[in-house]
Amino acid sequence: MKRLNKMLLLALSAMLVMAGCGGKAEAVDILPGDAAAALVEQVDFQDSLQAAAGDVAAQFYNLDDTITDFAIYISGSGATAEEVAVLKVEKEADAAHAEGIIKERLGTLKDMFENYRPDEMVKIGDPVIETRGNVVYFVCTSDTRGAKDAIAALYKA
Amino acid sequence: MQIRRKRQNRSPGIVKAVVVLLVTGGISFCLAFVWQNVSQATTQVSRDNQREDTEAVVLSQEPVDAASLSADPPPDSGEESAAESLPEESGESDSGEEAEDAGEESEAVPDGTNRPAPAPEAVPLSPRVSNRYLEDALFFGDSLSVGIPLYQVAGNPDTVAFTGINPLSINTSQVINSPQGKLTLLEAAKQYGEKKKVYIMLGGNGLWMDEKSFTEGYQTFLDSVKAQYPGAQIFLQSILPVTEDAHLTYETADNDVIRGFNKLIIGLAKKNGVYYLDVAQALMDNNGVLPKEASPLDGMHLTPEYYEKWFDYLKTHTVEEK
Repeated sequence: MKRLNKMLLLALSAMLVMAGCGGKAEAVDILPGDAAAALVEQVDFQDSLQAAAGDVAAQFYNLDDTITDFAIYISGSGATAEEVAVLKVEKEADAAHAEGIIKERLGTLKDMFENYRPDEMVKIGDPVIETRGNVVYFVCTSDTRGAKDAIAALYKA
Repeated sequence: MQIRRKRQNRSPGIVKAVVVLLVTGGISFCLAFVWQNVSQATTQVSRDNQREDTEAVVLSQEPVDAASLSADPPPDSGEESAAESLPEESGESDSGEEAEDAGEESEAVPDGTNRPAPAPEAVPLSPRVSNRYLEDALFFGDSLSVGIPLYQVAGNPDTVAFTGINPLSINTSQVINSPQGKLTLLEAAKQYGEKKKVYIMLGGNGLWMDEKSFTEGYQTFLDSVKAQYPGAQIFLQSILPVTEDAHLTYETADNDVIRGFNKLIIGLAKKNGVYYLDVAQALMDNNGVLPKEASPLDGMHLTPEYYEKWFDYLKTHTVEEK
């Protein structure tokens, strides 16, 4: 029953994100705010994730003008390395730049937690980073399977 | 005749009435004076428990005796005056004469609880100020302070914080991302320009250190802060308490250890002529520990509600600007 509910939620979130769009899955116009909210909802996290306000998020991730839209959720209590980031660039060619930003953030998380809470290094060492078209996804969680499924669900018709 | 007689009889009556009026007036004046003072004190205690955010920026012209207004007053057998331990410019009251020495800070209040008494050296209770008071403030800290911008607490004052930073690493670790590359917290803070108030919460990640390393590291950072912000009021915030089972996640997390390090921070505040804020008082329960509800995840990191309590404390423990 729980699995069924989860599948329904995945389907629902996919429909929400794809609302207004049609055609092929990879051509979906992803809205980072909706996508990140769906990931936070679908993926299992130990901590409660908090949406970072635009300027705060930009500072945490050292974002630049290449990122045209984004949504970032960070461990609310600061106790875990759990995060969700969805970065959108204008051209697919710029996606590598967004990936670089994600990897830099990952390095920062490593600096934060390796001596502080070494158990968090399991998540930091195996993050979900996926690029789909002009959107880059980053999910730092122990539920990597759930994160991958949730990202895939965003593109299912 | 009747009128006349009345007038004749009224003369002594008027005298009596005047006397009675004078006496009752005097008594009323005294009562009003006493009531006003009691009322003022009661209002301040009441305000301490409210989260009402008024626009009135009222600072502590005459700092209130925090100890006497606290729900948990300290023992009255102390010797040291707060006036001796707070900065000269603080305008502190002499309330500390009735408080105990810093060395007794962790002793329980004789109110039937195990709650430690407020540190007598701490900035006393003052009328509540609005978020505007913090607009010219800068916060330095560790993971707990990371939550300030994340939760947009108290109008989101400028904050430079990094998870895991401690009194030693804060001086040298280049960990803050910027367009110029990795910066130390102090270097990164320059982007915010001049500040009139600097709040530091540091030490929660240094509970494993020996006292000498802790004090020297903290002092080095304090020297750098004073050099970078020469005209600012500097506030050292206490390390916050943890839950009873926090040690299950953080080996060194122990409230007795924390109280010991807070004494070192009080000593640093005295030595450097800066202010000490006993924020721990705002978060602990009657057993002197952080309640589980404040940090259900790991016993140390706070829920948004407890950030509000933290900043309520800051907004009711202020110091008059010079």
